[in-house]
Amino acid sequence: MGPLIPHELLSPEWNNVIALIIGVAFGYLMEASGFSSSRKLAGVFYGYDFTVLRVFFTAAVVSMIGILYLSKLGYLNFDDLYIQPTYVDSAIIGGVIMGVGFVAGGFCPGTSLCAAAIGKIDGMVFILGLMLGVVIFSEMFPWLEGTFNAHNLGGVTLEDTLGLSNEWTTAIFAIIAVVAFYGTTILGRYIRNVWY
Amino acid sequence: MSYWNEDHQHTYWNPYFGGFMLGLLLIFTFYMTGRGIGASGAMKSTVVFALYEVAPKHVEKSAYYSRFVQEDKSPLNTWLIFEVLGAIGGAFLSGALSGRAKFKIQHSPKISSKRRLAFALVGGILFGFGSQMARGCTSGAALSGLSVMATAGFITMLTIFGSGYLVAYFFRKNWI
Amino acid sequence: MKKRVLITRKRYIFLGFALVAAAVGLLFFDGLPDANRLQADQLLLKAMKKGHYINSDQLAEKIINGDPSLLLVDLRDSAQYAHYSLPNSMNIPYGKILNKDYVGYFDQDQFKVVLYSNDHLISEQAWLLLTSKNFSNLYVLEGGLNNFFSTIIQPKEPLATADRNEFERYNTRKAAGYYFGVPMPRTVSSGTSSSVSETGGILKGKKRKAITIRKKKKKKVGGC
Repeated sequence: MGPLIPHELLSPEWNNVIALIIGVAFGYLMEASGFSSSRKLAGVFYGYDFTVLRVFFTAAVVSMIGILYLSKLGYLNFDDLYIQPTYVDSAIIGGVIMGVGFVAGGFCPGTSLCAAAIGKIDGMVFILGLMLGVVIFSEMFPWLEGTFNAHNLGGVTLEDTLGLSNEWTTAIFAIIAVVAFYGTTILGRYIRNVWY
Repeated sequence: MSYWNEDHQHTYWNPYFGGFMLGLLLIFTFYMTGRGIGASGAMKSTVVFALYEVAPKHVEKSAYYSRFVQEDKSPLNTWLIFEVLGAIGGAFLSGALSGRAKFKIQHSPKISSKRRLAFALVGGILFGFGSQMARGCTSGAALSGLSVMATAGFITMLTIFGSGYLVAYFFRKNWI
Repeated sequence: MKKRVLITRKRYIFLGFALVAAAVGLLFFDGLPDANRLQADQLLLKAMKKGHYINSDQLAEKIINGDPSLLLVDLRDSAQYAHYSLPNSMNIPYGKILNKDYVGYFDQDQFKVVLYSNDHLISEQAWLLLTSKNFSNLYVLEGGLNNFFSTIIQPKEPLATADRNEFERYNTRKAAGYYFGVPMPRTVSSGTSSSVSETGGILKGKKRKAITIRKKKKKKVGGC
C-alpha cells in the first residue's frame, strides 16, 4: 500500500536515490518537451506557442486521475500524501510576483535548470536571479512575516474549501483541459507565426 | 512523437506525450515518496548553504534561514537537492542526445543579448522572491499541488498564469 | 499538408475523449470494497482472543491513578451522556463512530480507547466495526456502565460467609466509589443529593474535554 517510503515499505535510505532517478526523468522529460527554451515558454502568454498549456494541463489531469484511481483500488493511501498548507495571502501575493517574473525572465525554476543544463546562459542568469531573490526575501523577512503566515488554512484540498469532491474536480478539470487544448489549436491557426 | 528535421536536430516531443509522461512521473513520485516534485526549494537550500559558509552567525540569527539550518545535516542534504541534481543531469542528457546542447543566449532577434540577460536576472529575482512567499513554484506548488487537489496549488497556479497574462503586454517587445 | 492535419486531429479527438472518459469514470467508480479493511478471518481471531476487554475494577483503577494514556469514549446518545458519564470521557454516539470528525480519535497509537455504553453489546459492535478498519488500541468495558455501577458505585456487600478476597475486593470497590462521587457516609444524613460530595464531585459536571489527539500519526514531509 503506497506511498511506499512513508509507510516504511521501502527503506527511507532509498529516498535520495529515488529523488535522483526521478530528477533525471524529470529533467529529460522537460527538456525533450521543449521547456529549456525560454521563447517556447513565454509563447503561452502571447499565443504563438501553447506547449506550456498542453504539457501542464495534461500532466496535472493524468496525475489527478492516476492518484485517485490508485487510491480507490487500495494501492495508495490518499491521506498520507503531502498536501501543502494553504496560506491564502502569501499564495496570492507570491503568485502575482511569480507571474511577472515568469514573463520577464521566461523561465520558472524547474525549466531554468533544464536550460542551464544544456548551456543556455540566460538560464544560468535566471538561476542566479533566483538565489538573489531568495536572499532579498530572507533579508526582508521580518517585515513580511505577518503576511507570510497569515490565514493558514492548513493542508486543505479543494474538497474542503469548495465542497467539491475530488472526483468531480478531476472530471471538471479534464473537460476544461480538453476544451482548452482544442480551443488553442484553433486559435493557433489565426495568430501570425513567430519564428523562434 | 518526435522526429528529425532537416539538419538532423532532434525536434521536440509532442507536448501531449510529454505531459502524459510527466503525469506518470508524478504518480510514480507520489506512490514512492508521498510527495511531489519541486524545484525552488533546492535554490533555497543552496542559498542557505552558501551563506552559512560565509556568514554562519547571520544565518543562525535570521528569522527565515534559521529554520533550515540543522545541527548535524548539511542544508544541502534534502530530497529536493538530489532531485534537482538529477534534473540537471537528465536535461543535459536529453539536450546532448538531441544536438541542442551548446552555449548560447536565446533571445528574440529584436532585442540584444544584454537586454535579454538583464531581464532574465530581474525575472529571476522576482521569481525567487515570489516562490519563497508562496512556498513553491510552478512545479512544486502548482503542479504537485494540483495533483493532490490542494487549494494552495490551485490558487498559486491561477495567480501565476493570471498575472502573467495581465503583464504580458508590457514585455511584448522581448518576445514577439 | 491539410490532409495530415485532419488525420492527426482524429487521433487527438479520440485521445481527448479517452482522457475525459477516464476522469468521468472516477465519478462512478467507488473502489474495491475491502481495500483498507482487515480481512474477516483476522477480525475473528482478534475477537476470539478477548484481549480487548477491560473490566470495571481495572478501569476504575486506571481512572483513579490518572493513567494518561486512557481515552474514554461514551457511545450513548448525548442526553444520556449529559445525565451521567465517567469522568473525562468524551461522547461519540454510536451512529457517528465512522464520521470523519472522529476518525482521529480511533486512528492513532497514543491513547488506549475504552469504548463503553450501558451494557457491552453496543460497545462490542463498535469495537468490531472500528477494528475492521484496522484501528488498534481499542478496548471494551465489560458489562458496560451497568456493570460498572453494580460493582464500583454500588458494590454488593459480600455475605458473611465469603472469603477474605471478596471482602478486600468489596472494600477496594467502595473506596473507588468515593472517587467517583459516591457520597461518604457522613454526608448522606445531611440530606444532600449525590451530585456533589466531599470527594470532589466528579460524578456529575466538571467533565474536562478530552485532549486533542494529533489527527495523523505520521509527520508528512514535502513541499517545494
